[in-house]
Amino acid sequence: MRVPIFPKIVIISLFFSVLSLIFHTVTSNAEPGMVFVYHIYMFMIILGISFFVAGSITEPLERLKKGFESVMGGESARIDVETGDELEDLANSFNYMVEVLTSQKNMLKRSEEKYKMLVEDINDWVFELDNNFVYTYSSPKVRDIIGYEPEEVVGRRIFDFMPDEEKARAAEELEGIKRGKIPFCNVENVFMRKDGSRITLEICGRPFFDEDENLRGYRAVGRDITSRKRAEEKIAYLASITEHTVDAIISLDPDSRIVSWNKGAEMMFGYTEQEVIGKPLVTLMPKENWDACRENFKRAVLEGYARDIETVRITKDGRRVLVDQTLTTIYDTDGEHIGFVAIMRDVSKRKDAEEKLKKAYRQLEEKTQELLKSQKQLRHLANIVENSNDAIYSVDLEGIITSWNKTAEKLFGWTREEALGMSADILLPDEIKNEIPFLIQKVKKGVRFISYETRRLTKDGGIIDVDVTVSPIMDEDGKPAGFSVIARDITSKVRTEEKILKRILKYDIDKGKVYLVEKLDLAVDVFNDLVKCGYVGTVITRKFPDEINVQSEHLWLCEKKSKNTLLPSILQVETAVMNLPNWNNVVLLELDYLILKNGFESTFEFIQRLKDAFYLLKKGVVLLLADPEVMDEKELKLLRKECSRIRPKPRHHDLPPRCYELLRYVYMENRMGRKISFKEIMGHFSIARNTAKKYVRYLEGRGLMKVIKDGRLKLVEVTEKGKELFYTPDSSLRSD
Amino acid sequence: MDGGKAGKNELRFLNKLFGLAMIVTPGIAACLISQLYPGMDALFLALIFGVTLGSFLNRKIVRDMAEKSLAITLPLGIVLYGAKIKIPLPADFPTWVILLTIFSALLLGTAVLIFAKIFRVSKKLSVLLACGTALCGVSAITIVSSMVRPKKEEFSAAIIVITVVGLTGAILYPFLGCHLGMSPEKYAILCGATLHQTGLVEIASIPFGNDILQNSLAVKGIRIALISIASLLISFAYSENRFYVPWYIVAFLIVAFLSSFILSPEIVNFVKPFSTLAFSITLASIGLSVNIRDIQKVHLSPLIAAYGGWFVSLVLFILIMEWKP
Repeated sequence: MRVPIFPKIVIISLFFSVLSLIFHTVTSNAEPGMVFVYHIYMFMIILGISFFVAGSITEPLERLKKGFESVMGGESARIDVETGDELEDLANSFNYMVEVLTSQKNMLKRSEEKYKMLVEDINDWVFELDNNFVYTYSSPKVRDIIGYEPEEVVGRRIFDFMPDEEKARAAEELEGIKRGKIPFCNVENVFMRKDGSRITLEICGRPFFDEDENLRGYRAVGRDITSRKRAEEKIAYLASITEHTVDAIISLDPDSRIVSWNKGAEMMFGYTEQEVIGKPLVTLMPKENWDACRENFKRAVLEGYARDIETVRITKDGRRVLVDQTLTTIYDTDGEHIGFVAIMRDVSKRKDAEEKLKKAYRQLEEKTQELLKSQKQLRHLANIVENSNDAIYSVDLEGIITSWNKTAEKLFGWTREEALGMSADILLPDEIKNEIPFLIQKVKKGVRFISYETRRLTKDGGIIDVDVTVSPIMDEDGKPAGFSVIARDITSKVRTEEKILKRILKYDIDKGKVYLVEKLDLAVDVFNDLVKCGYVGTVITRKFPDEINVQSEHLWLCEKKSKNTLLPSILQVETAVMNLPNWNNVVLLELDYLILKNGFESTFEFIQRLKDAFYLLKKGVVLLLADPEVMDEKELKLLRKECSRIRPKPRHHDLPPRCYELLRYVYMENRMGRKISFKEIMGHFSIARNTAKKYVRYLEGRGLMKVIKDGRLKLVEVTEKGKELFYTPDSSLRSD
Repeated sequence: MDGGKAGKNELRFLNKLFGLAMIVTPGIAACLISQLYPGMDALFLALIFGVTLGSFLNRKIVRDMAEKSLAITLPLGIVLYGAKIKIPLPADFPTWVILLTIFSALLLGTAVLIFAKIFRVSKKLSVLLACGTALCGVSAITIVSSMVRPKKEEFSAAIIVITVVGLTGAILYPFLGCHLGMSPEKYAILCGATLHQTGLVEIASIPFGNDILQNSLAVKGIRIALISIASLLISFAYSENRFYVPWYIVAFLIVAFLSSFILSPEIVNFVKPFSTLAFSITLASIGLSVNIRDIQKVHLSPLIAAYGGWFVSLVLFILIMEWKP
C-alpha cells in the first residue's frame, strides 16, 4: 500500500498526540506506582516507533548511498525498497537510472566493442601518434601490415619503421602537417617490414587536441597500397606501351565510335586524337570494306575477337595502307559489353619486305643451286684429284701432310690414314731433307709456283724421281697456309734422259753436280756441249764475252752496275744462280774474281751451298772455273775435293766427229718433235749446203739418218738405227 | 609446546566462559527485572539487552556461542513453557467467552496477516506478527519461530513490534476502560482477549481491581492455551514432511497437558520461572547475534501491520462485545 512520507509523519504525529492525550488521561488517574510504569512504557513506545521510523528512512537512504557508490564505482546496483513512499519512488528512480545507465553503459560498451572490432578487423592499420610522432596506440592489424606486434610498435617513433632514405622526407612532411595542425590524407610513406621488405602505406590522419587546444597528436589510418602502387605502375607502364607503340590502338564504344586514339594511330593515319574522337571506325576504311567491317564487329561480339588480315585502311592524306587488324570486345567488371579495341599494324613495309625476302629467297635458291653445282664440280674435281695419275698432297706450314690422294698412296706406299698428320720430311731422302723448310720459306715469301724435278722416298725405302709442282695454299685472309704438291713419277723418264744425255754428251757429266774446271778451253767446251744438248747456259765471269765464245747469257762480274753486270758479292751471285728459272741449267762461274773479292772461305761456303742446292733441286750443272796459278795449293785441294772433276767420255761409235755432231743435233731436235732442214743444219754448224749434204749423205749411207721431203722442203730425221747410238732400251734402263 | 597449547586451551576456555556469561547474564537480568516489574516483559528486555550488548561487544566467540545456545535454550524454553499453559475446561468459562476469545485470536491474527499483506511484510514476519498479536506476544513468537525459522532480524523486529504495540495497548486499555463505559467483565475479556502479553494484561487490568485482573488473566490463559493448537498447525504448515511435529512441540504439549491436569500447582509454579529464564536466554542469544541496523531493515511496515491489525481487531472486537447483549 502506498503511503507517502508526509501522511506517515502526519499519522505518526497524530498517533503520538492521541497517545499523549491517552497517556495524560491514564497517568492522571493512575496510582503513583503505575505512573512510572506508564512513563517507561511511553518511552519504550516512542523509542520503538522511532526506531522503525528512523530505520524506514535511513536504511533506504543508506542503501541508496551504497547504490550510488556502486554506480560511481562502475558497478551495477539495484535497490529494492518497499516502503510505499517517496523513498520507494527514489529507489525505483535510482533503479531506473541504473538501468538506463547500465543500458547506456552496455550500449557504450557494445559500441566500444563494435568500434574496437571495427578498428581491429578493418584491413587498414589504425594507430595514434603523439605530437612527437611516437606511437601511443596501434591496432593489431600492424601485425599483418609491417609484421610487428602492437606492443613492439607502441612507444617507438614512426620514423623507426622507415628506411633511411625515407626518414628525412617523411620527417619534413609530417613536421609540416604538425605545424599546420591540420588533417592530412593520401600521404604515402615507405615502411620497412620486420622481415626487411618494403611496403608503401597511404596514411590519412586527423589531429586531436587537449582542453587548451594544444595538439596532442594524430589518429591515423594506414593502408597498404604496395599492390596498388605496383598495379598503377603496371597500368602506367601498359599505358605507356599503348601510347608509344607503333601499332595503332584504338578503343571504340559499342557503336564503334572512336573513344581513344594512341600515338601509333596518329603516326599511321595522320589524324590527331581530337580529329577522330567520336567518329566511326569506318572513317578509316574504303567503302568496299564497310560490309566486312560490320561482319568483323558481329564476329567480335559473338566470339570475343575478330582478325582481319592485310586489310586496307585510308590515311588522312588519302593514302591506302595495308594493316593487320585485331578487333577485341571489352567488358566491364560486371561483364557488360562496353566497347571494342582495334589494334592495327601497318604491314605495308612488311609486305614489301616479304616481297624482297621472296626475291632474296629466290636468289638464294639460285645461289644454292649454283653452290650445289659448284659442290658437284668440286666433288668432281676432288674425284679427279683423288683419282689423278699424279700424287697430290698438301702440306701445312709446319711441314705436316694435310691431304693425300689415292695415287700418292700408290706412289709413296703410305695409306691416307698413315700419311695424314705425318711430317712431309719422311718423303724426302736424307740428302734433301732441307727441301720442305726450303719450300715453306719460298711459300712464305710469296712464291706462287715452283716446279722442279726431285726425288722422293717411298715407304719401302726406295727412291723415285718425281716431277714436282708446288703451289701455295692460301687461307681466308689470303695468307699462305701451306702448299700443295703434285708429284709425277718420272723415274724412268729421268733415267732415260740422263742416260741419253750421258750418251749424247762429250763428257761424263751428271746433272745436279758442281764441277771444278781448271782450264778455260775445257770449261767452254763442256759448257757449249751442254748447251747444245738442251741445257740453258749462264756464264758468270770477269772475262768479256768475246773471250768466252759461248751462245748464252753472259753476266759480267763488275763493281759497277750496268746491263748484264753482276756485283762480285757472294750474295749477288748466289741469288742469281739460285733464281735461275730452268731446271736444266748449266752455269759457268769464274771463281778467281769472287775469291779475290770475298775471300776463299766465303766463296768456298758458297760453293758448298751451291752444290747442295743443285744436288737437291737437280737444277742442272755448275762449272766452276778456277785458275790454279792464282790460287794456293791448299785452297785448290779443298776445291778439288769438294767438286767433281770432268772426265772425257770414251767413244762408243766410229763416226767422224763432224758427222756425229750433226747426227746428235738432228737426234736431239727430233726428240723435241722437230725435223731439221738443211738450212738449219747449215746455220747451226756454219757450214755450206754441199758440206751439209755430204755429211747427211754419209750418215744416210750408214743408215743412221734419212731425208724426208715436205713439199719443196727437205728435212732430215734420225733413223732407228741412228737412234740406237743414243738410245738405251727400257730393259737396260730397268736393269739400271 | 605443551605450555603454549595449554595456554591456548585455557584462553579458549576463558573465551567460552566469557561468551556463556554474556549469553546468560542478559537473560537472568531480564528475568530479575521482570520479577521486580511484572509490566516489563522479561523476553523483550532480554532481547534489548542482548542487542545492546552485542552492539558493544561485537565478538565472534559470543555470536558463535549464542548461535549454538539457541539449539538448547529454545527447545528447552518451549518445553518448559508448557508449564505455563492452563488448558481451560468448558466448565471454567462460559462458552461464549471461550468462543469470543478464540474469535478474537482469529480476528487479530487474520487482521494482522491482511495488513501485513497490504503493507508487503514478508510472509514469515507476518506469521510471527500474527501469532504474537493473536496469542501470547513474545512467547508465541519465540515458539513459532522455532518452526517458521525466520531471519534473526525478522524475529527481533517481530519481538520489538509486538512489544511496542502491546505497550501501547497497556496505556490505551485503561483509557478505554474508563471512557467507553464498559462493564468490568467485558473489560476483562477485552484485556485478556486482545492484549498481547500476560504482563501487559496485568498492567492494564490492575487499575480496575483484582477480579478483573483474574478474569482477564483467565481469558488470557485461553489465548495462551491456543498456542498449543497454533504450534501444531504451524508445524504442520512448515514441516518438510507432511504432519511432522517437532519433538519439542510434542514435549511442550505433553508438559502443558501434565501441568494442566496432572502435575501439582507447586511443581508447575517451580518450573515456570525456568521456562522464562530459558526463553530470556534464548532472546538474549538472538539479540547478541543480530545487528540493530538489520532490524531496522524491516522498516515501518510490520509496525503498521501490527498496529493496524491490532487496532482494527480491537475496534471490531469492542463492537462485537457491545453488540452482544
